[in-house]
Amino acid sequence: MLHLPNENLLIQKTLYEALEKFQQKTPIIIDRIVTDFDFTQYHLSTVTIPGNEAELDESKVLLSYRSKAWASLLKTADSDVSKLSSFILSKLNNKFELFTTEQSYDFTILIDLNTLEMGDIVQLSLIKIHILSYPFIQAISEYESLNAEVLKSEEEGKILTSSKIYHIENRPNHEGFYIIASSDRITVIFNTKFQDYNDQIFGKVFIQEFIDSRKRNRAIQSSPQVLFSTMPPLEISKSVTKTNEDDHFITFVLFPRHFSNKEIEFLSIAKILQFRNYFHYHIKCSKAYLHSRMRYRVGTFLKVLNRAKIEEESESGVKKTFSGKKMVSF
Amino acid sequence: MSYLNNPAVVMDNGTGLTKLGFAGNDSPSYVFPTAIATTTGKSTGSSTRTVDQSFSNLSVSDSNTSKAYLTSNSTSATNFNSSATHSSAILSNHLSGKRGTEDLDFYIGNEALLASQSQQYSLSYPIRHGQVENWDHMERFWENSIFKYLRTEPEDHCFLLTEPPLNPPENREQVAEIFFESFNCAGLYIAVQAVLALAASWSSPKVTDRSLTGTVIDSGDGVTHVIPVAEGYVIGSAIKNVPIAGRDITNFIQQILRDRGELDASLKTAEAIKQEFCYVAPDIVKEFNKYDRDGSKFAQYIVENQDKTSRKLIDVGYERFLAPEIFFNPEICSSDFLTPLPTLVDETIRSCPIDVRKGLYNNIVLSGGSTMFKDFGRRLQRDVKTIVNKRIEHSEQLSGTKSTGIDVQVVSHRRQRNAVWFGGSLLAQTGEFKSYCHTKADYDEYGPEIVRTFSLFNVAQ
Amino acid sequence: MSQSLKPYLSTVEASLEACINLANFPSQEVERHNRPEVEVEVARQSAELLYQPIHIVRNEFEKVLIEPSVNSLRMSIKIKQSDEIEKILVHKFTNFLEQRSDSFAILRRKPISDEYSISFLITNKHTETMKSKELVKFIIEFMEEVDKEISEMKLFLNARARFVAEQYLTEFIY
Repeated sequence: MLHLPNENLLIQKTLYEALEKFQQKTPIIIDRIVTDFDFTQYHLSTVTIPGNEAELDESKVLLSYRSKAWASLLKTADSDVSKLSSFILSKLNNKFELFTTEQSYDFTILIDLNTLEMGDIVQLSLIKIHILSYPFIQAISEYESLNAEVLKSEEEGKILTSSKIYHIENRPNHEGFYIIASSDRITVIFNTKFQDYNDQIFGKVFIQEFIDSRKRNRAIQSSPQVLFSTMPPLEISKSVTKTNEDDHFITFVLFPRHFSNKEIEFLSIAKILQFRNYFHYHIKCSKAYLHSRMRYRVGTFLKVLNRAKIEEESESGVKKTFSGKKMVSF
Repeated sequence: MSYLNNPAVVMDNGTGLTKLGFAGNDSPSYVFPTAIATTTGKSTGSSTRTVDQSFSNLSVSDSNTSKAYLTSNSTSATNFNSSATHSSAILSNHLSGKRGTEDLDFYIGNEALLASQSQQYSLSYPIRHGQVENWDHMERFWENSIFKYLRTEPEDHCFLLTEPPLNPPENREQVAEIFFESFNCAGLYIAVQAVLALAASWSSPKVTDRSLTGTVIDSGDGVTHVIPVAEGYVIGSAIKNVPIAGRDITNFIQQILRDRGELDASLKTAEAIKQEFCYVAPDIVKEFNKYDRDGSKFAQYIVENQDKTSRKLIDVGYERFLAPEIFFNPEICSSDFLTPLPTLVDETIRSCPIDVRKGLYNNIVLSGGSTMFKDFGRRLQRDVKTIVNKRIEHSEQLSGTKSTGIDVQVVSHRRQRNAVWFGGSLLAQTGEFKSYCHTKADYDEYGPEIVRTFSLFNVAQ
Repeated sequence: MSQSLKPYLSTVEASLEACINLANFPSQEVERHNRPEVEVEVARQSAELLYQPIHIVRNEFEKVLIEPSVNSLRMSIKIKQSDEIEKILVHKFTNFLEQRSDSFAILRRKPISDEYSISFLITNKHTETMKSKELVKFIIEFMEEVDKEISEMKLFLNARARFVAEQYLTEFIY
């Protein structure tokens, strides 16, 4: 597997099975936990009939979501839950309604199996991306108004940059990303950390290639520009209060062509959101590959060493039975 | 911080099937074959780059593809839906023909079975007889399980893995090497399958005292084990194996169908009949008579082809009770293994230290798909009891004293099929689980040998 | 093979061959014990049983220490590690081998000190069951292959990083 899939396979599978069984008139009761990267957890459960807690309504399923990123997401939505939730519902084509938020979760929607379609299941399995795309969509609309302003002013080469920095913290230890809109670009800056010293060194090799490959390979010139520093870049220096030694700031510069229409916009956001996971996944894969190499090497070294062993004297004189056991005479 | 309470990942990699899921769920999220299809290097270069991202696109144009995609690694244990028609459309990973990336080009589970139908991939099973044989393949199997199917960052989760009884400690160290060095997992706990199966039986109302003493009968597809466990420790010297398990029962049914000349005697049909119709009878002679008197005992199974155009009717007769009977009377299908299961259970327990035997008789726990037949537990309990009582009677006669008697109890429960996984889920969702795990920091400090010992759970409540 | 590697390896080979002359020698301190004398703690070592250790240094990154004694021989190698990545790879690789030292018989579980990457311990038991000439050959081949393996792993890492980065960025080309 090269790319991590965008969609959560387990949500798809669970909903698909629930739908199939429901359509076959043998509904199943579901109550399961599903997870996703970056401290995201879902809970899929069959709804209890209101007023009668012991009875279950098998035609309705709740999907609850919680993640580390929610608190900072809310901040970007001016702490207005209804603004954020109506955004998410619109991303799901307004086919689902909000439900009383389940305890210890951030967001709950109601899924009616009577009207659920295959396409909806796919959208629901992309819900993490839909939710986290909120600040991106905000930044893009900011870009649009800034761009219009520049065009109006007719000043050559003028670049306006928004003063607003969207900061999403989706992992502990201040790991997360920042989004800044300008009149000609959108800058996304990741702050990523490595738990392990070895990973950090491997990671540096990878990051260097992210920076260089765009320069080297002409075919991917139109991809976002990548920059790297261990100090917070200027754009966000005022909002990063505390810096640690193990901070790694990776900047992606998205150009207007990366969000020129709705579909491309979605793909770009999905890709950017998966950056950290992709990056760390491949560091792990290379370590796994190194392990296989080393296993192979151990094998070849052992072969050489075994050559040194003095072979036991051939037992030509000893009679053996049919099954290979030695005949011993007393 | 509630966000940091990620559920632990429970993985039970068996010889035939792998069960993956999260602690707290009552059944595994994925059950698929422990199979991996790796590239053979004979790729043609352009053949599979047909459908690139049918899913990352917003629109789902081809609902047929998506359906196949969804079912490709579904939860049902025995899944025969791998139809060749979808394979080219589903499987594409951007990697064919690219040199130096062969280690990323592979599939696991049902997708592996699909992929192996093409020339490019060869299928292999990294686990043999419960133990990992090919570590390279196993490492990549785990890699894909974690990142693709479970979608977890191993740095954020604790893992509970299972191992067969008598697994050499070197194997544990290899597991630790992979999980800590390659994956940097937050915490690791390796539990013996039989102990987890015992823990799973706590969900049964019959079990009152939540002890980790008992005899586990674990019957999967390939082999049946009888494993005595005393206070959480496996009594290794007393473990016994029966070479009769699920696959033999299926073959037996298939043979009967063939002998009778049924229209369809495929393995798939035999498997379906085994799962749907088979049960254990208390007395086969009486059962034969019952069938001969009452025609309604015979059943019919309908085989439909893929597009549901043609139907075949298959009669199901004596095999309903005869097939599971091979556990109790092995001579009806095997000529070299003749010890009935109840006798073997009795022998196993009698070769254990005398002070735990009562506990072992008292708590005989079933685990695995091949123990799911109706009344299997009841028959086993009756037969073991008969053997034990006979022996007690005999010794009473000889010694002239009165025995206090032995209570034989076979526990069967609802989670029997995936008992090992469920036991793991049960233990891993407790608050203390994290403190039982070895962490990455421990590993870095002490090296792989730390996983030689794990402290036992005691969840006595 | 580079110019200076050949003489380095042949020196190591010759020295090893000279030192691998081991004999059975019961301990002088504990009755019925037979211990490798090089491994005896410094305070209890007896000078008559230890021979002069040999240092063979190719450059600051690569050197070998051979410590012979009457019944055992200890040899430690510092594997070339010119940068951070090589350091990690060498560490990973030697750890991986040491983890499997049971099957390697002559490999020590730990190098004798941080100065060296890996150590071998050959006792008279080994030379009795194995051909000493082949043992020396094994060590020389090991030294050659390890360097090759480390640089190949490093190349792999770079190639993989490049591939992964390009593939990621390619996703943004519409």
